[in-house]
Formats: sequence, structure tokens, C-alpha cells
Amino acid sequence: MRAWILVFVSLWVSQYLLYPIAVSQAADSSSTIAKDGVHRLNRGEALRRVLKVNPQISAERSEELRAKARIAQINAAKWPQLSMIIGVATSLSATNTDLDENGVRSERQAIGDFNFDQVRPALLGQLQVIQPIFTFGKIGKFEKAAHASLEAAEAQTLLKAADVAVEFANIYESHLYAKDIRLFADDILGIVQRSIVDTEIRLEAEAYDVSRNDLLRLKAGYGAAKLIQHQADAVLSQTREGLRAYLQLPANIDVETSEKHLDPVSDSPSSLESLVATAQDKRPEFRALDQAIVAYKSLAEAEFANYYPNIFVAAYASGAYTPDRDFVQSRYIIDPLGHFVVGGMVGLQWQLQWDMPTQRAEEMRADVHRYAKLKLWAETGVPAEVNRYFEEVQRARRDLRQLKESLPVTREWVVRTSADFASGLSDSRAVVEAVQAFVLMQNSQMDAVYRLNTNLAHLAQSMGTITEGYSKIYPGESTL
Amino acid sequence: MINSTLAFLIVAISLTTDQATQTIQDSINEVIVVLSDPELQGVANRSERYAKMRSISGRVMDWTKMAQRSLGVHWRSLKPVQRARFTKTFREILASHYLGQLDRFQGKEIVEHTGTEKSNNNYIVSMKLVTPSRAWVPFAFYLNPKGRVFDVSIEGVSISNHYRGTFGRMLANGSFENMMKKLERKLATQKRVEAISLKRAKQAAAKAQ
Repeated sequence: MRAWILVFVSLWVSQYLLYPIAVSQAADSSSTIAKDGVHRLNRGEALRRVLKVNPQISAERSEELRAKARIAQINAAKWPQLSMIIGVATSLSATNTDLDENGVRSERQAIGDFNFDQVRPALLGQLQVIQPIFTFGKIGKFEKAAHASLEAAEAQTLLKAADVAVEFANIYESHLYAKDIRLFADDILGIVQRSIVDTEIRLEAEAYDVSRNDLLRLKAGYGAAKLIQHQADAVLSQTREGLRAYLQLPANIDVETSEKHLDPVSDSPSSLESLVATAQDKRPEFRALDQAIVAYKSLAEAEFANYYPNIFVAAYASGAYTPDRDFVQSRYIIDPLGHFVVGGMVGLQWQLQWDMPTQRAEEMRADVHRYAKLKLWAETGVPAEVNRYFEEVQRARRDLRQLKESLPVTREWVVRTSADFASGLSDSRAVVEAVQAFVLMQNSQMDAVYRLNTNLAHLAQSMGTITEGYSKIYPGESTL
Repeated sequence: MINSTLAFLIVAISLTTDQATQTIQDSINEVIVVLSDPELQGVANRSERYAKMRSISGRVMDWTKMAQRSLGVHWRSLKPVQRARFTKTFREILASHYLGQLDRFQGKEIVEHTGTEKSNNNYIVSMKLVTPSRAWVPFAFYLNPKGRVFDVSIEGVSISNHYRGTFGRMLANGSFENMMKKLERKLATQKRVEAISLKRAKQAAAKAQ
């Protein structure tokens, strides 16, 4: 949808003003690399660097450059259009007509007498200047459309930047999540491995409080923890490469997060109403749609202006000079190789296109209608989107509050069952059951923090603040 | 007069908050030194390692008081010989279990002191065990004025209180003798397990050579 806004505007503007466009783009290659070869960045630093150097965002900025070039083209159309030809040619000898005293006419053909001595360089030049003085608003409307398309392009760059920022946030949070899961899996594997050895010994000692089923349960648990470890390793490798790519770091630089663990990014966001108000103020979609409507309205008006002529003034000059050549000029004869002529005019340029301007304007109006409806949808859809992520954040926070109560409960359960098992008052199944609940709760806590952070990133995107680089919502840093 | 003199003496010999903290931290540091001593590593050196840790815990733990608290009101109805039998078994079981737990430390864990408070004449030294995965376990030592630990809580669960409930239910539904049989059976099993584990370690060491 966003791309079409620009495509249509650019097509219609460039249809009238076709000039070559040169686009140059300076790539930002600045980076800070630690001496140990590991690039460590915290969440905020990393996000700001991505917004600065990611090529996807830079690529999107080409539309802005294109729009700026179109504005320059329209500005150029206000100035006199000059057409000039200057050249050097060889002159051929002219035909001389001589009359003698008796009135006898004799002619000398230069061709016949041609020799190289008669060849001279001839300087030729023509200049034509046309200055539009009144176009019935055509240039002004196109100029307004081009400015609107520039603003739409800027908004589209912000949309792309927000998409990239959220993709990066997901990678960053996944990396921290995988790091925590890896450490937890290591912990669990260590405990389970030692428990397996203990249980094998207890079985050999014919202890009454363990059975073969306990050993199998532990071995199954060990396998499950190994699978989680494998998954965490794969995710860590993938996210590390993802971070490197998004941060545009060379392959020989290792990248790592400054944060050692996955912690909640920010405090509870303020009320939903204030978040929606921020979104309505900052979401780039609103600006893009507003500007698309302005652009298409202007183009429609420019089409209507085609019913009216362009009024212009024009000046014309032509000259040619050939050394050693007779200068012959009259009102009736102009020597193309030896003359000087100037002239001027005021004129109208008008093209009868029957109903075509009206129908082209209707096309533009159809787009105005389309974007007006999309804006209407955005006005209701954006609050719904903010609400969606706000509720996901609230849910994650509620989960974390619950887990703050439930996790110690499961740990207490483990302590009590372990104590009873230690004194021979219960069997190992009770301990395993409690440990399983603890593992579930611990994993749920990490998952809740991950969901909280990624949904905060989505919330910041839905509010249009994630591209600011500093946001209390995400990455949790404020410039205030 | 005698009472006030005794009270003065108790105050004079009782700990300060800092001393209570230091007592626990010194003991923990001693345990860490034993656990990280290269010459005491491995299953083959477990007996020696456990002996050193038992020596440390023996200095700091008041096992009789802990056993008494774990039996609660039932303690009073026991004869001195029964009390001694229970205390010995209870100490062996707890030592065996919790030394085994300590022995599982990988050296990557961090023990942090989170505070010491005075409660009546006793002290509660609170600590936190942080594992590499950041799962943390709060635990606390309860010290009497003489600096001996009479209770330990893990995750807020007082070991004495927990066992008071468990033993209370067992004694309500059965005799002291039945309860002791269960505890002694557990202890016997634990000793068999330790013997086999030592045998295995020796076999593994011989195989490695």
C-alpha cells in the first residue's frame, strides 16, 4: 500500500517532467570495535546503531532522494527553457553570378572549381528561449504534489525503519532468551546427570526409596534438557549472525549483548488512552496517508488545468559566420553559413484532449478516495493495534507477578519434598514432581520476560516511537 | 542478684550482628575452600571431603537443639537415651543429605549475604545462592547468642519447622520406635549407597590408571 502511494505520485509527476535523476547515497560505515574483537552493545545502543546503518533503511531513503529530485525538476520548469546549438562546419565555395558590361551573364560553378584552398571553417549557432509566464496552476500543482510525495517518502522510510527495529528487537531478545535458556539447561543437566548417577547407585544398593522407573524418568528428563540445550545453541548461533547482519559488523567481529540476562525492559507503560494519543500523533502511516491524499488531489487539479493553455514568451536568435565568405543578407535570402537573425513572440500552447484530462483527474480522485478510506481504517485500526500490544504487555506483566508468587512456591515444594526424601519419609517421585513444576515455572518466567520485551517493542512500533531510538517503552531508555 | 549477674554475663558473651555474620561467612568460606581444593576433588576423595565438611558443620551447628526443635513437644516425652538416639540419627541423615547437596556445587555459584537481623537474643543471617542461570535460592541461618546454628531455612522453609510437622504427624499415627525404624532404615540405605559409590569411584580410578 505504502509503495503504491509513491509509485503513482512519481509516475504522474515524472510523466510531465522527464529529466535524468542522479542519486547518490553516502553509506554510514562508522563502527566502534572493542579491542578483544567482541562488539558489545546494550539494547539501546544496538537499536540506535541499526537505525543508523542498516542498509534496508538506507535503501528506503532512495525514495526520498527521488522525490527531492522531482521537486528540483519542477523548480527548473519555472525557469526559461533554453535551446542552443553551436557548431563548426566546413563551408563550400558559393556560386558567383557575374554580369559583364554587355549584360552577358556568366556563371562560375564553385564545385567545378573546387579545390581545398576554398575550404573554410564555418561557425554556426542557434538559440531559442521559452519562458512560461502563466500555466493556469499546472506547475504549482505538480510542485505541491512533489512536496507531498517527499513527505510521504519520509514517512515510508520511518515505516521501514520501524519494521527493521522490531525485527532487530525480536532477534536481540531471542538472543538473551537463548542465553538464559542455555544456562538453565546447563544447570538442569548438571543436576539431572548427578541424580542419574545417584539413582543408579541407589538401585545397586537396593534402596527401598527408588525404582527403575525413577531412573527412566530422570533419563527422559536428561534427554529433554539436552534437546532444549541443542535448540538454545542453534538459536544463539542464528541470533548472533542476525545481530551482526543488522548491525552491519564485519564477519571477523564477534557480537555480544552487554546484558548478561534477559530482564524486563521498562516499567509498566502509562494508560492505554495516552498510548493511543501518542500513536495518533506519531504513527508515520497517518502522515503518509495525509500526504498521499494531498499529492493526488494536487495531481487531479493539475489534470483539470490541462483544459487551459500555457502562455509563454519566446525569443529566437540564429547566426553563422564563415571567414572569406561574402555576407549576403536580405529580407528574402538568408545564407545559412553567413547570417544573424533575432526574433521574439508571445504565444499560447494548448492541446485539445477532449475528455482525457477529466478522466485522468478521476483516476487521481479514485486514489484520493482510496487513501481517505485507508486513513479512516488507520484511525480505528491503529488504536486497536496499540490495544493489542498493550494487552499483551499487561498479560506478560500479570504472568510475571503471578510467577513471582508461584516460583518460590514450587521452590519451597522442592525443598520440602527433598527434606522428606532425605529422611526416608517420602519417595523420589514426589521430588521429581516438584522439580518438574519448578522447571516449568522457571521456563515460564523467562518466556514471560521475553514476551514482555518483544511486545514492548511492538507496542513502541504501534505508537510510532521505536524509530526515535530513545523510548521509555522500548528500548527502555529515555532522552528525558 | 544472681539473675541479673547471669543476664550480664549472657550479654557480655553474646554475639554482635557483625560477629554473627562473620561466623557464617567464615564457615561458608571454609566449605568453599574444601569444595574447590584440587586434592579433594572427585568421588574417590568424597569421604575425606565429607569428613572435612562435617567437621566444619560440627563446629557451627547445634545439632541437639535442632533435633529438639524438630520434635517439638514430643521431645519432652522422650527419655535421654531416646533423645540421644534421635539426635544422632537425625544429624547423620541431615548431614548426609545436605552435604550431598553442597557437594553438587560446580564452583560457579555465588553466595551473597543479604542481611543479618537480631530477633530476641538470636540472630538470623540471611544469604542468597545464585546459580549461573541466575536461579537464586534464599537461605538463612539461625544463631543463638553463643554463635551456634540451631535452625536453617531454605526458600523460607525452616528445616526444624518442616520436620516438626512431619514427625508430629508420624508420632500422632505411630510410635517413636516406628519413626526411628524408618529414619534408621533411610540412614542404613544412605550408608550402603555411599559405600557403593566409593567402590565405583575406586574402580573408575583403577581403570583410568
